[in-house]
Amino acid sequence: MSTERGRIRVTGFDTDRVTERDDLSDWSEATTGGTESRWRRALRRFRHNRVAMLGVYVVAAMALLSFFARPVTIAGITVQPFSIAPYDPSTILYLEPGSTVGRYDPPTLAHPMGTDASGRDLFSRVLVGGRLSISIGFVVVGITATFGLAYGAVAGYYGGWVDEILMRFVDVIFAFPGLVLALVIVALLGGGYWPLVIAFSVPGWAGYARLIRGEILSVKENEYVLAAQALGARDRSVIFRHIVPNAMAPLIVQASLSIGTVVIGVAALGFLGLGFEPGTPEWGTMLDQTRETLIQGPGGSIPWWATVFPGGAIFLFVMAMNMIGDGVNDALDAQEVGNVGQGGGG
Amino acid sequence: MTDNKPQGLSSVLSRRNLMQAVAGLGVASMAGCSGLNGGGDGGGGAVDPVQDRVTVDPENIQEGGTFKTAIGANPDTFDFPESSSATASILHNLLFEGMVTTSASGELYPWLAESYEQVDVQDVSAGDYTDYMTTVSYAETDDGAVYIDTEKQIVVESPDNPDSPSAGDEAQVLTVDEAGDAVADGTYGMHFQFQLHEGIQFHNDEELTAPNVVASYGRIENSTLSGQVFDSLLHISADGDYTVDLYVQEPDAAAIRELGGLPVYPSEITDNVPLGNMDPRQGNTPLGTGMFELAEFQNEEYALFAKNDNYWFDTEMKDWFDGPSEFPNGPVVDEVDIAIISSDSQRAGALQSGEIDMTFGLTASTLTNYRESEDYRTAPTNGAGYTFLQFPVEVEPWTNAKLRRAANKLIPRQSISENIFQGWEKPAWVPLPPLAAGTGSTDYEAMVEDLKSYNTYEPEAAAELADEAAGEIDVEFPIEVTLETNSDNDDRVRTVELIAESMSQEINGTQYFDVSVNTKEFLTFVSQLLSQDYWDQGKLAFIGLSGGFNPHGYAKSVHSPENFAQCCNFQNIDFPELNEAMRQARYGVEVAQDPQLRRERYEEVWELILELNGNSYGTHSTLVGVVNNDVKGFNTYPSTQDIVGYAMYNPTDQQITYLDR
Repeated sequence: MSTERGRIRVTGFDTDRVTERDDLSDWSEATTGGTESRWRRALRRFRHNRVAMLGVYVVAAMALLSFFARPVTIAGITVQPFSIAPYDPSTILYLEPGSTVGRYDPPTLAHPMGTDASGRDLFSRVLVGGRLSISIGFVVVGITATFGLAYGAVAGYYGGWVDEILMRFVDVIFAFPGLVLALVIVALLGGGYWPLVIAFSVPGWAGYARLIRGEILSVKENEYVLAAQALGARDRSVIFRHIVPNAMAPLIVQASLSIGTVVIGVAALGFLGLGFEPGTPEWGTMLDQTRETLIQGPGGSIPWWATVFPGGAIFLFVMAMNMIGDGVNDALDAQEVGNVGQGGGG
Repeated sequence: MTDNKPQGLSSVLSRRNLMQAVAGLGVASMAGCSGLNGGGDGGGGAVDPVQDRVTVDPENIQEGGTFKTAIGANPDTFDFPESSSATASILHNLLFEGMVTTSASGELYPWLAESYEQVDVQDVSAGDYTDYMTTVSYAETDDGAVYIDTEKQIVVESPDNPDSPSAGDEAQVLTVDEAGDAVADGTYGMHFQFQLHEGIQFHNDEELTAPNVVASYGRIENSTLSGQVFDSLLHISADGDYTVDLYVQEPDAAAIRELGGLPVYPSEITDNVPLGNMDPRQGNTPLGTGMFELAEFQNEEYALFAKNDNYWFDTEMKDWFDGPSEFPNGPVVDEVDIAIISSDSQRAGALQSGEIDMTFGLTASTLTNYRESEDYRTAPTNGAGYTFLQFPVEVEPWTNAKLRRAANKLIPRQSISENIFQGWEKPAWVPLPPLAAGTGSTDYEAMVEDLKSYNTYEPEAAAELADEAAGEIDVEFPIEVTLETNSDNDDRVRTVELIAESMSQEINGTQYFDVSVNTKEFLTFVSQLLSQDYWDQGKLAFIGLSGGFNPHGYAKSVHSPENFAQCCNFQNIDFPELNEAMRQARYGVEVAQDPQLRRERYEEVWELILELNGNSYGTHSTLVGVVNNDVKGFNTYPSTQDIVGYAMYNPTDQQITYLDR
């Protein structure tokens, strides 16, 4: 019997075996520079996605070409002096004295994409056309995603009758076909850049609201949210500092895929003659202006360049945006993120 | 009329406004529709507007077959006085005929009438009818429009009636009930007498008599057509079975053209069928004396016409016919099948697939393709259509005529014609198109030579005019202005874009105009143009219009204060000097009796129009029918409204079409 009464001794546990055994994993404090954030990890994964990066390069190239196509002047001050496009997109070339340019001239070195029905240089118009087509996609998605995020976050966080009222309104928006609603709005407001932005924003935000609400319903049950609330954080702080950042991933995926959809929608309205004024260098409107050429009289040849190049620009941009969207989806996919090995796991 | 159907306006205008608008359009539509006539106005010196007319050797004519074609819209009604559709007139002109008819060049010939004569001309004006007038009150519609409250057709309004009446005020008017009294007392402007052929039968075998003519003209009272008939017609009466006396309100050189060719119906229609109901959709078959009868009609799909086997016409009945005795006495095709296909490209496709034999209204590039094809023939004719740019003459700085002329000098008409219309439309060097040259000019080519310099594209001259204008008015260059047109006509939009580009160019380092383009859907645009609010908005308006053989319409429609807020004086143009010149050219005993004097006065009108430049005329239309090689002898009438009827048979030009399948 032990003489050291009142003391418990655990036997059969050899600490030396634990401290001196081989490491179970490669992890050590020296091998890690700290926890990698999910955004940084997503970016790294995105960068390794070649298809997505090709999309980025294409979109970036098209955006830059559009921006530098013609000088940009704001309030009489030239803020962008470069001019890649050889002609002003609205210049009717056959009006120039001595001009040999005609309507629907085929592509030549002087006019790499030919000319349109009014004898304007298609290459210049396609380049400048990106300014409207591309920017409107980003602007609409920026507006709709921001508003939808706030709307869905409020609905999801507060729940109850607030959620009920807000989401029924979302249901009302969903009851209208988006493109038809946009068409009605453009018909009421008239064409132009901002009417089109409104036309696509009005139905566009609802999808984001519903998405973010669903995410928030699950995120808000997490302990860190309860902790923040217990510590007395305001609702606004809880929503936008603790909940929303953790519910953003699906919204970003949705937004990146929607840009292409909006561009297609704007082009569709333009093709129906409802977007911009007929002579505007916008890809869909340019297609609309050449619609009549698709049906020719006997022996007539279709000026393919008038439809192929603006249509190709729409295709290229939307395809690139979809590639980016898929890449973002892969990079932020929550399901896949959950499967990544966690440091220290046993 | 405007290129699009005026009946479309009904959706945006009150009925009263619509009637006014249609009345304004009427100078044109009337002239195009059936043969309008011509008394002393026969169009002397008229030139055949048909380009490269094809003729037919009667020995080669083959009888039978179905001529198939298509029109762009469902007919609004077969009841002529209630129709305001140019497209429907294509069908009307197969069924109905009038006392006189017209050739493609606008010359007038007696038709149902064996002969007609101008009996008398008197120096009478509206004020001379005061003794016969009755007093009625003004009333107000729910939407605030004030109108004269009588169910009787008003013929003449007193010049002393208030300019801006209110409900309850009194008006002096001569209605159809009192017009006969004035005529009986010898108060009228002109008197025409028509001798009808005996033995003419309607489709229902009833014989045509003078009372039928009187009843048919009576059917126009308070109809859609009434505005453009009762601005000239005073009274019509029968003298026995075959003599018709027609009286005109005041000496009017265009009266016989406007009034002589209105359709005549049998008593089965005039006695029994209410106005608006002479339509198969109302259970009534339209009846007339025409060379075809309506055999079948499927709403929105097609109308099938069968040759009138009992047709009355015989070339030997007409002194004026100088063709071979073998020339047929009526159309030789058995049937005319007219499909309703709204899209011009679909109609072009139908022609290529052999579903139809003829189409029209195609785009310039498609027409060029057809012209170059050996399997089809294009049949171009100088048309009655024209485009015009109207200046806001009541808004500074456009009140200055030199500034307007400066802008006019920057319209590249030749380029518009060649590049946009591929030569199918012609530059409007003068307001009058070649179609109306015979009645509106003494020597059209010489007049064009004299006046062309007003409308040639000369930026340097434009700059000089603009600088001169700047010396007269307070203006800063560039003048910012919006140029508006309808969006549903691609070639028109391109024309406007070109004009905007041209006007906005820098000339010797100065940009005089800064023009932006705004397009609107047709009905929206027209409803705005016809409102009373457009004139002070300071916008340039560009649209198309159609005239006829009467030169007056080409001046009056777009300049007369009477046409303000109607078609087509949108900008409240009121040039007293021009108003008087227009009146002197059409009204008065002198011009009614002396066509040459009338032509001289119209030449003064055209020059004045160019000098004042309230409107810039753009191009004159060419109407082109396209036929396949089975169709022989087809020539295109200058107005779409008789494009089928004229082609089928019109002995005034020895025109006949047959099928060689």
